Amino acid sequence: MNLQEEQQLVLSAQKDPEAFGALFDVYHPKILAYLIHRTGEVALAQDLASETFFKALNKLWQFRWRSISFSAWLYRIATNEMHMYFRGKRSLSLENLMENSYFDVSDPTDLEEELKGAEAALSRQEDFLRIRAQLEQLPTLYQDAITLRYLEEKEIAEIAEILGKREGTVRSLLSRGLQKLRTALQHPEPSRIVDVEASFLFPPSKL
Amino acid sequence: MKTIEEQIKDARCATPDLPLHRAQLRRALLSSQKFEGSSLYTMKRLLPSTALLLLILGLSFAFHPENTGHPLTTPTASAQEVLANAAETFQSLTDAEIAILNEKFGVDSADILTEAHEASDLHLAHVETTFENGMTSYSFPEDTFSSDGEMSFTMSISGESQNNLTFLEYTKADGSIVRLGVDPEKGYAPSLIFVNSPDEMSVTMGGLTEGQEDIIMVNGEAGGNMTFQNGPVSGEIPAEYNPMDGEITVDENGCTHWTSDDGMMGGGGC
Repeated sequence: MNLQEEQQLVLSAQKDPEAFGALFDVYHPKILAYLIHRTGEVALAQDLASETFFKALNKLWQFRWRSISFSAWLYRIATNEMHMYFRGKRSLSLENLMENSYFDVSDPTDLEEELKGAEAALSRQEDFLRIRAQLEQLPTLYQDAITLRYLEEKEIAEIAEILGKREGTVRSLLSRGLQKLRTALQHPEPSRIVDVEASFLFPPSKL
Repeated sequence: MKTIEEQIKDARCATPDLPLHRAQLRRALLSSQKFEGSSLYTMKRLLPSTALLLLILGLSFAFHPENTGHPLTTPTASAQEVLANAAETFQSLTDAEIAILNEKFGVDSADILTEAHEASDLHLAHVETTFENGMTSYSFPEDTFSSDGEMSFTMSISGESQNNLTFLEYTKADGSIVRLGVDPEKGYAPSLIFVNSPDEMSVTMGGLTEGQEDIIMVNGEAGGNMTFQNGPVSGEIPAEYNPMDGEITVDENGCTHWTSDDGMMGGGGC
């Protein structure tokens, strides 16, 4: 799907639920993969992906093409949901979502089997799990930038859109994050790098 | 020896797919109550002739002699446009900015915007005020305040601004009237909220303004002691106390002061 087609689909989705379904089909696999890469947990990623699309559906009317691409908007929602989860705000599970929608899960056993199979498949990805173990020691902003750049293969400009940062800031995050990751991989003893470093680098915007 | 970038790219695994979960989620989203309840989506299902009839009825109402002289409202379309601009500006905020805005407002700003969008009576309220003077130029209907001598008054101030605000007004499900002040010179950024309800009044000022971020919180009831959360205890609240009758000033040190028309004074954090 090219940008023009996507723009047309987004415009339609604001009036047509089927168009939203088409966007869901394109982006759900990508958002789920991003959340698995970022969290390392299939069940959590599944919940966060559910919440991401639930939020996107409810806030689609707020979306305007000019300010941010739809793709970046979805990744931004997913990133925010993940941050909120790690700050202690629980996400909706698919089951809760369906209850709120008066919609029954038809075959919960099948869903559980699918989840177990996916978790088993992920547990066999040793290279990924080794990198992830070191990546998760970094401050959150570095994890976001490195995951989006090297695991999701996003361009710097799109990462900047997703994280709401300038491109130069993203480059700095990547450069410093990779340096920290390189050091951590050379000296695999886990050492927690505190968030305060990122805070000094990127002071919060003043309102 | 592989570079660190190459190592990460090589570690990019074929993430497990969840087709059953995806199908269930898709069905849940497209059949959700929220989805069905949205006017944007239900309007699509209306036959063109029905839509035309509604349009004629709407125009008849708008131009009815009893309604044309109404001083407070303008057509809903304009309000929706202002709201859409406010939402767009809100979307561009960073997490940190949204967190501060939510703290100032005391509510989730996204929820306020969504609530306004879904309100059936959203309109522009003709209130001429700046951010700085919002507290003194806005009058609440008397029957929504101190009806039984009780008062709960919350006020938060963030900086100062001389910009004229545009006010969106709508009625909440519980009957409260919300006036959301947005700043046209800052992309209609949410800046100020007034909420009127039969037994409680809250006024929140905040938003994308420069300057100090002091907060004054006044909680109490008429006849009781007025306390400032971030400042000194100021004295007894008079029975007929109306916090709208006074003015707020910010001195050169960034300290906020409040003076009522009856001479009562208070101060907040610096």
